[in-house]
Amino acid sequence: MNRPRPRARVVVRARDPHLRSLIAERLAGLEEIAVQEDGARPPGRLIYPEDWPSARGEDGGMGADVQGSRGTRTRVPGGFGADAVVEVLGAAPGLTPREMEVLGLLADGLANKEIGARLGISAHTAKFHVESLLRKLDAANRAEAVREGIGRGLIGV
Amino acid sequence: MANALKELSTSLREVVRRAGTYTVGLEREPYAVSGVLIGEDKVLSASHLVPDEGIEVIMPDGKKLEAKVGGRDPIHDLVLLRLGSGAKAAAPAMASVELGDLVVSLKRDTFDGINASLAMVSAVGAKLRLGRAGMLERYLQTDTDRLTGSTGGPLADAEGAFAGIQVFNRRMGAEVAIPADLALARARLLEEKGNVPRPYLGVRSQSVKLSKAAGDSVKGRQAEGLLLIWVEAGSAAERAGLEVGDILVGFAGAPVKDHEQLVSSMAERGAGAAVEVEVVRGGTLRTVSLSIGSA
Repeated sequence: MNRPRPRARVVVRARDPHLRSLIAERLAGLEEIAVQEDGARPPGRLIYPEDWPSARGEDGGMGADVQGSRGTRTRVPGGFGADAVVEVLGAAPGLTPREMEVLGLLADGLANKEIGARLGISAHTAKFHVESLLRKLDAANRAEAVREGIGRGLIGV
Repeated sequence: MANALKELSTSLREVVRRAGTYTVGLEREPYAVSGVLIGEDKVLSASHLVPDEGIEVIMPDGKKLEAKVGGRDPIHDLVLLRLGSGAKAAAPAMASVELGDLVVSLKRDTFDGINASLAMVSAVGAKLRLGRAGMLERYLQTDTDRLTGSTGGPLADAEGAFAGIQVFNRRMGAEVAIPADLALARARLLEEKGNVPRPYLGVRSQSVKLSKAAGDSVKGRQAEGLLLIWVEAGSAAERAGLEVGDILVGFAGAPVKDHEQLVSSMAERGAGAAVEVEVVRGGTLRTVSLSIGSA
């Protein structure tokens, strides 16, 4: 039932060296982490420093003072993910937004008909999305798809 | 010489008679649904077949009583019904059955009263995760096709005691029975709370390997944890101060190495429970108190 799942690898990308070291410090508990200078926003699943409440400044979105674990403070330039991104690899199976919605409803135990009713599509179309999900997640059935979805960080618990 | 077949037959007749005293019917179109009288005014049945209103229960003495929904647990496909008219039934004797045991499946409808069939417990499943943070601790399967209308009705053991309730598990897409002790525990929860909330933290996470320092901070008991990659605004996790980038390594006194462990720990404690959670942040271990939320 529980097949081994590839563990996520984390890549931190930031042009600013202070920011790079700050993020790396924050994620010091990770064994597999790569820090790169490239500031470009990569595809895949991302963690943004803006998601850290303790890193959020008074002014909200446009820049923040970041407190590192050793007490260092760095001004993070604003903009969503423009200057630093933390990418978690090995997870995203390339689901469409609709498939993500369907996966969430599968996790709530809904049948195709109910999924269709919830999303305003036919049960037939819902079934099509479910089958596509099973393929992409390499799952034999709905229960396995939900288990994979949770394991890959696609479904909240 | 004793006739073994005659003895078996006599025993079975007694099993069906006893189990019939706590098997009720629910009039539904196009198929009947059954239920189990679990004591006082309480009936347990299969949630997916029971509507919210207009429920009439056929009692063992043939009388029809109106009932109201007292609570639903869709994850386990259970519904608790409360009978009107001051009904007061005795609680049935309870039994636990194992793989290979013979059981009798019962249904009740208006025309025939009790219908019964004999089956063997063909599988006993353990720890089936039913979705996000839902867990069926144990379930039973039998080797025969269920009689139409027996869903919601009981499985009785070789002495006629209540051994399980027959439901349908949508996630497995299979007819299963929930063992009597678990079903009654869920019924008590339904009675207290009206429904069984699904425990929910509000995080998405991925399995990661811990660095040596982080491994040392948890005293080498584990080499993996769950990296939080999303924390829902306003969720139980956010209120407890958990942040994206934290690595969850312990939950309610047990190590968390993978999602299965987190989900089963959450299901065991249940929504509303206060637990201690261990996270690695910046390479050091922190313990935070968290109250499990619900969704």
